[in-house]
Amino acid sequence: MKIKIKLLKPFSDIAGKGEVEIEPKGETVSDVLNSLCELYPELKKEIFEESGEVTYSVNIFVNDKPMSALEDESTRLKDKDEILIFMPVGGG
Amino acid sequence: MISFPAKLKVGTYYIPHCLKFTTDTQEVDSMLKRKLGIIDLSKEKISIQDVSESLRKKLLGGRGMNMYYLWKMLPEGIDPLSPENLLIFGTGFLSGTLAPSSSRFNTSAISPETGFLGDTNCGGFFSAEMKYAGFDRLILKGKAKKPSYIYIEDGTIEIRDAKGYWGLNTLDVQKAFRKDLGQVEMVVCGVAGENLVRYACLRTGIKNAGGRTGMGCIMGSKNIKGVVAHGGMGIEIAHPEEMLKTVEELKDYLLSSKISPILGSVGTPLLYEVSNVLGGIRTKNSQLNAWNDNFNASEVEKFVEKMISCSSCFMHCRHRNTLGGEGPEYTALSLLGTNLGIEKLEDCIKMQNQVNDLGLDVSSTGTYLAWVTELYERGLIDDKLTGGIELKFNDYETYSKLIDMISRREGFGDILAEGQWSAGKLKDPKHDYLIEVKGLPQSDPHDVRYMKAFALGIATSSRGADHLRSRPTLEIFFKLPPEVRNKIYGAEIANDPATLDTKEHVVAWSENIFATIDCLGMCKFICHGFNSPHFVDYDWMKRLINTAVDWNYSDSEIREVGPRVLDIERLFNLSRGMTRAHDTLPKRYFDDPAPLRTAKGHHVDRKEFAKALDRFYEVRGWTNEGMVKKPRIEELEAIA
Repeated sequence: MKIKIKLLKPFSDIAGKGEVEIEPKGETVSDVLNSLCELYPELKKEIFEESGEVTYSVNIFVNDKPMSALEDESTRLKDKDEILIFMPVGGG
Repeated sequence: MISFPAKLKVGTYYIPHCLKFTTDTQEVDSMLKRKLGIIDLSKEKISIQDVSESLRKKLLGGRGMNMYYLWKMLPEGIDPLSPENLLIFGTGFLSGTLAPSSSRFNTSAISPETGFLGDTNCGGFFSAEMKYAGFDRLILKGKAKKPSYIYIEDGTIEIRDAKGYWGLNTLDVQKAFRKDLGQVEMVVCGVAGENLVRYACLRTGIKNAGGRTGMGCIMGSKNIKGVVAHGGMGIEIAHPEEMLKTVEELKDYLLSSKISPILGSVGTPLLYEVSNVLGGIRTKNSQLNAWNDNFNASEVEKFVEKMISCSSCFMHCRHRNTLGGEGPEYTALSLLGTNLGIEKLEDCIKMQNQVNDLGLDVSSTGTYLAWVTELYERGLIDDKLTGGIELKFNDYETYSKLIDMISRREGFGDILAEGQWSAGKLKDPKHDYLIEVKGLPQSDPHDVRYMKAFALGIATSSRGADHLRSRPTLEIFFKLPPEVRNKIYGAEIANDPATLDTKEHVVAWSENIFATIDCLGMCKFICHGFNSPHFVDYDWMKRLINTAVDWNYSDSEIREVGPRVLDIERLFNLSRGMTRAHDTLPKRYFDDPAPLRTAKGHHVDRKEFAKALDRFYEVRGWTNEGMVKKPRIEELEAIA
């Protein structure tokens, strides 16, 4: 299974690229995030709390839906699904 | 931890690495003794007054106190451009102190752009300097007989001849004031304000703008080019050591957020890519809701010379650009970029610098230009009206020319300078194609068809379509645990941005805390709920107030300020003819589903919106018609 991950700032700066395609070791969003952080270890502290939970200041979409509207990190993925990772901020 | 002598009285403070303190020979007194200056320009009469502590306790300063004086002093039924209109400059309660990001001041009047409440909030260095000059509020009334400017210094006010300054753009006039008067801080209007363009803004520094609702136009109507401040009056802090300790704690707290570093290194352009990916970017007058990647922060960075800050701020979110200005902010990227179908980022930045220099509001200018372009493309207006100017999206040269014509009221620019009031001439009398609420073009780039709390927020905002009255960014913090979200808003909130259900609580809560932080003169960028659930909340506000003055301000007192401001603003608007019908959205957001990306197919359902408005009024304590109830009016009228 291949999953395309789109990273927006600041995650794209840390990874050095805005798009990554990976073959995760499992089928869930959690598996994808772990595989991503294995490739780019510096992302780990930006995406996860020390407790291992995804931090509140990261948004993750699976295709066109926030993962919170699905089954969060347990959401199962299929081949060619797309994941979007970004930081929510406001301003004018 | 910075160490200070125990009895040091804090004086001027610009940025954390550049502290200045008053000497023993300079005058120092409590911030509660800063004066109200009332300047009758017609009679050339100046009155300097004390302000009661009881009034300050109810409304603190900034926006809240401005609203009080506007509501109490402004006659009903006047033309905004007549001498009877007031123009109020009010510093935030904590401006001039060490409180983080406390650089803000509000400027208020009845708006020439909307006919309702005019109010704008601005950063920079002016607010602190006005405090050091001895004043926390100036009220201008009447009209000067000739072009003039106001000069304030150490408790004195002068009306001075503006000969040599009138006719200059915002950058040149500030350089001229500095050359002639030394290290002053000032707020000015550009040629757009002099020429009474209804959405002319105020400017201090290169880009800091009091942009919304046409306050630069009111300056022009009063023959006032600027207010110039020079001050050496220190502010006595009631508990200076405690304030230092609190500020240090707060700084560490704010900087511990994952969001702070990115705001300080990238600034608001960070938002563009997020909104664009979700289909939330106003594009070609909102006919589309997404655009290309040319405006991503990574592209903006190529034009950034350095990041800078306002007074007492360590976020430094503003860019100095390599094209001779500051910015662009996220708003400019869309309103002078995507909304005009601009392909090249450089064209957008050049237009933004031009608009800033002429003293026009970015949001209104971009919205009106996109509006008339669509009207032209639809054949509603033609070359006869435009004077032979062909309008099409992505035409930088024509837009740049029009911006100049608007500011000088030349040809078709004279029609556009009237803003929404030109709708009849432009054959769109009901504003079917104008993205506005209450006559004010939408401030921010967000296409709100997907994010329903954002939609309710701009519909109910007291000054018209504006995100800075209530933008609940936490709506897109999808990972925020429900119990945290519910605790913040005091109600169970649906974790779905696409529904209006429960969003009345989100909007009302945001309105209240944003109004409070506006009264304190602190920036919304560090306000709880605007960018993070962990920024400055009521507890922090209370702690800062209680270090600055000997009030022992309570939790209930700080929480009552925001609702009081909102109710006064509502009363002001109701007295100018506002009704429930004005709390609405642009037709396009109701009737045209968004065509692209995540937001595709989303729009605002009229029946659902009406129900949400009912619930919103109930949360605000207003009647079903949006009226403030009589006991509340009596309570507010008793404030003195």
